[in-house]
Amino acid sequence: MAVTPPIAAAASPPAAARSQRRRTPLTRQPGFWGMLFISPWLLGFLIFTAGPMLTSLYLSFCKYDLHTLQFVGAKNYEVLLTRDPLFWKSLTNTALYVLFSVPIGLTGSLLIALLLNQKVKGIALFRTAFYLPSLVPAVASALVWAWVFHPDSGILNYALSKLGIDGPAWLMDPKTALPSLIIMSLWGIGGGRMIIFLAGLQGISDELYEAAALDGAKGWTIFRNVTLPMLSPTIFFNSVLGIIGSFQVFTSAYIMTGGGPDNATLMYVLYLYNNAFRFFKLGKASAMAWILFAILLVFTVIQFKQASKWVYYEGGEKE
Amino acid sequence: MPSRCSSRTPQPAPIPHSLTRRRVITLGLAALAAGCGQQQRVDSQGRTILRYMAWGNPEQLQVERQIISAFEAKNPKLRVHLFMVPGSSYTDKLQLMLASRTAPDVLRADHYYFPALARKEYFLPLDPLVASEPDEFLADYVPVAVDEGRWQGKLYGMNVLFGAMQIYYNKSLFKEAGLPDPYHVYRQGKWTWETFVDHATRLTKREGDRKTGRPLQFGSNMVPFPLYASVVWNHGGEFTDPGMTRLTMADDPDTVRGFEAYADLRWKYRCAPTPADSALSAFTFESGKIAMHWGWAGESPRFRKNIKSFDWDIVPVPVGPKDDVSVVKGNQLVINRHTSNPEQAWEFVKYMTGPDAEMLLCGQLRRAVPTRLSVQRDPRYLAANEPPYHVDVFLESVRRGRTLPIDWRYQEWSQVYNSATESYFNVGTGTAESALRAATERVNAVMNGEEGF
Amino acid sequence: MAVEVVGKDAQGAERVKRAGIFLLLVFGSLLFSIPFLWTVSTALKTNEQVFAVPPQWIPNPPVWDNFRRAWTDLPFPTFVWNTIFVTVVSTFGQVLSASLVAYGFARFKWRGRNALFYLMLSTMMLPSQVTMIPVFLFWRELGLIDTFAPLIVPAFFGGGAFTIFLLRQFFLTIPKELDEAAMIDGASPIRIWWSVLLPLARPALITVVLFSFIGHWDDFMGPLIYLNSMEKYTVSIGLRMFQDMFGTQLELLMAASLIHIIPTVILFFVAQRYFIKGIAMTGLK
Repeated sequence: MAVTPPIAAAASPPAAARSQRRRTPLTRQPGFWGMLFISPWLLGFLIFTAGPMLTSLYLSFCKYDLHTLQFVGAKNYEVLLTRDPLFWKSLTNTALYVLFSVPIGLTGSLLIALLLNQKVKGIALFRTAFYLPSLVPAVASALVWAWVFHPDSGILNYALSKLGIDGPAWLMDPKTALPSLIIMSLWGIGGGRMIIFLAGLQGISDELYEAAALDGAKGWTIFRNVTLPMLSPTIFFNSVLGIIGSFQVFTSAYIMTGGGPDNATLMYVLYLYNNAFRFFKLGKASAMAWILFAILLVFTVIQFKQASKWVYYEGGEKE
Repeated sequence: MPSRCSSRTPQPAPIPHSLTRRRVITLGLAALAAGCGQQQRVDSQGRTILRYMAWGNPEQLQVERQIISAFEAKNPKLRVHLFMVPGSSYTDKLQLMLASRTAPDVLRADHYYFPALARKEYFLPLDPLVASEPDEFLADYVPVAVDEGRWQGKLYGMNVLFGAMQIYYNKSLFKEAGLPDPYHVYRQGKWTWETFVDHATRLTKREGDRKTGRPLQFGSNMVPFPLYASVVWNHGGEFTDPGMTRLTMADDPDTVRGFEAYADLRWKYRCAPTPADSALSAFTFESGKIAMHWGWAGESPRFRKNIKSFDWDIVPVPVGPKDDVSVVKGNQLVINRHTSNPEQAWEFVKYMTGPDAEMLLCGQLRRAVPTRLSVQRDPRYLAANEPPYHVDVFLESVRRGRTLPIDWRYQEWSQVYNSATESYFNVGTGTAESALRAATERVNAVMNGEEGF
Repeated sequence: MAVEVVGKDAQGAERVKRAGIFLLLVFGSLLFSIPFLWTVSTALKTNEQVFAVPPQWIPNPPVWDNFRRAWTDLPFPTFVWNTIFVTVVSTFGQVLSASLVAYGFARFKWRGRNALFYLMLSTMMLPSQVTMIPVFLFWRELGLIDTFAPLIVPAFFGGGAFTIFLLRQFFLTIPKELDEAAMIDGASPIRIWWSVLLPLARPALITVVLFSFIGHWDDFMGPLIYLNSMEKYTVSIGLRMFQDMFGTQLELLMAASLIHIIPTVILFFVAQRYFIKGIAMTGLK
């Protein structure tokens, strides 16, 4: 089976095929069915999403304080890119966060999924336990983290002191606040991404493992040659979504630090939110949103281009 | 609720999938139909409906309901529809509603946001309505409370949940340390900053070393900006110029001294918790581990409910070498400019800020300090049969009250101020002078800079 | 992981491996349960015990009354009922419409499909904070503020890019020969979606149901901005009313949090049962 790109370039069909298509009844054309099936989304997009997206694009070229609207050209973009140190600070913070939390999170989620894919007694309970942090409301887990990171009586520094290390002030110290948020993000590795991996592992046929075993393959070789390729669409999905999601990280900084100390945890979307809902600068916030949009689009397109080299689709489209 | 019923109606199911889809369409339509009546302004009995929005916890909800039913009993032609929103997200919802013109007729606005919102002309000017009242109408209000509801000379909001900062103190800890009751010290006119610092130091307990040992008990709490403004003011300092156009802190030695005096509680005398100490709420007044708690009048109900194991009461904030003010702040009850019932809304605003409501809120529940002078004089208000007994302290603090430097760009510049002063205040690095120099420069860049878009 | 022909040594090694896995599971479960256990513990404390230092893990005596208060201080039964209604209807709509759309993207080729697919993905890249106001204005125009419609109706229109993308990825892993075989038997595309793809994508569908349910159950921003009247509130709003500017009543907040998450914990516990190895493929090849 050929490895095909997730989005195969839609080569324009040859003239003969085109004329043939004209003669086939509508219901025999893949385009008809495709459009029919995606029509709920397309309608929803036109009704609920396109309008708001265009509105925010227009607002990004305006001065809008929720009361008066005034077109100002590219001024918002100019101010952000050239004169706003907090914009760059928040972008750097967020990039660092993505750089660390995405790869560590993906690996961790995959390992836990492999562990929870075992046939062990009481697996239901284990799976639930690993998933629990994703269910507990953020207000509750914020308090747990305050306790974990407490400089004097927190368990983290207690554990470090046993190793003879004098622990830092974590969330209170500008140098360690961002790493603290990255550590916090690991609490969620047993959550959504892990479940998606688990579902992916479940989708791999036993027969493939059996065939590999008959060929004499052992643990690592099977993992390398059966599990990983079969799981690659899932890994791809989780990494695309992981990057999009991490760039939009908001809640943990909003609840735990409010962006401090000294803007060390000022995340991009938190700064955007402050501009929109604290400082009444909706035009600037919209410009920020579209800059983020452009960044994420570039990342996603790169990932899709790279995907053809490593993502394997069993039901892949055949050219 | 027809929609919900239909979702439970058992139906014969020849083709499960299409049935569910049909059922869903029915549900959707029912949900749409249910929404059609929501914009109505008059109920089935011809009573005008006023929509009123506020934030609060379940206890506040009970109080609001109580006041509303008393109001409705007095005004049989009016019905109040209450929207109660969680406090942490109130501002987000309020802004969305104001911007989209879906805001209710009457709403409570936190004073931190009031100037920014008033500037956008969301609120109905109240002066014409006040003019139609008897001449002495405003004379019964605490002047500083009325002033807070003004924006550029026009009155837009009547003060609710009003009050000053004062100090809640743990009587039992004072007795135990052999210190005189601060209320008596205050009555003798000796409740100065030095006395306060001295008492706070003596009331701090640590394991081992007096300054660096593991803390067991602190003399005082620390409050965030701008609640410590009175310390700066009482040392003769100022935050901004009189027109609130720029921060002036770094240029004035008195301001620097006042600012430093406050941070000294934490870093020099070590008698107040650092952010690290107080993380996890390990040191609270209720737990008996804070001897003096700077707090709002509105904190009394919580203390009444939770404190069982010691005696407590209140005393004004200490006077400084140059002044004797306390910080006052309230919230504004405002009328939506686009309301279709301004007169009825005004009736409700008057009732909410009137003697009956204040007697309940301020007298019985101690959630705020009366804005009505007649209530302040009322013996029923002054009587107290549970702590805090020193009701005169509430009134004295308001009498000395000074409003906070909150302008329409406060949200933006206060964040800049906080991040510039954070390492001095919260980590103990740098000097007061350097922190204020940085804060002044950065804040003024915001205030002089473009308004932003 | 695999069927092995095992000798005695291998059996021993297998046993050691099993024990190791079990220990890892026990240790990890305990670690990851901490926030939940802490919530339970706090929900059973008095206000004084909440702030006790060092923290007490087992409240003595447990204050069961916190649950009664959390349940009755606010009209929680109404909140729960509203949440169930909104969640069940939206989850159904989301899974139904997303699986149709994902099928369209995964199995049919036409000009402009890739552009539409990218367009769909791109809707995830704009932070919701900026589209909130325009979307709100749309619902206002329809006069549907303070109804459940803005919370429910969008679920029926594709169910969101995340869900579509997830299902599409899973559909792509299903061999296309199965569709083709069904097509030769004369099955229509709708029939193929219903009786070939959906059964085979069962783990993915369960995942989507789970996420959709939890997402709608926990949704706070939607109910916050669209619902005004208390009788229409959902649990997530009620929960946050225990947070107060003058200090939160933690023990009540935690009791309410627990009431809030119990349905999702149970759902998860039950749903994960369907992640049973091999269910997707057995008997089909």
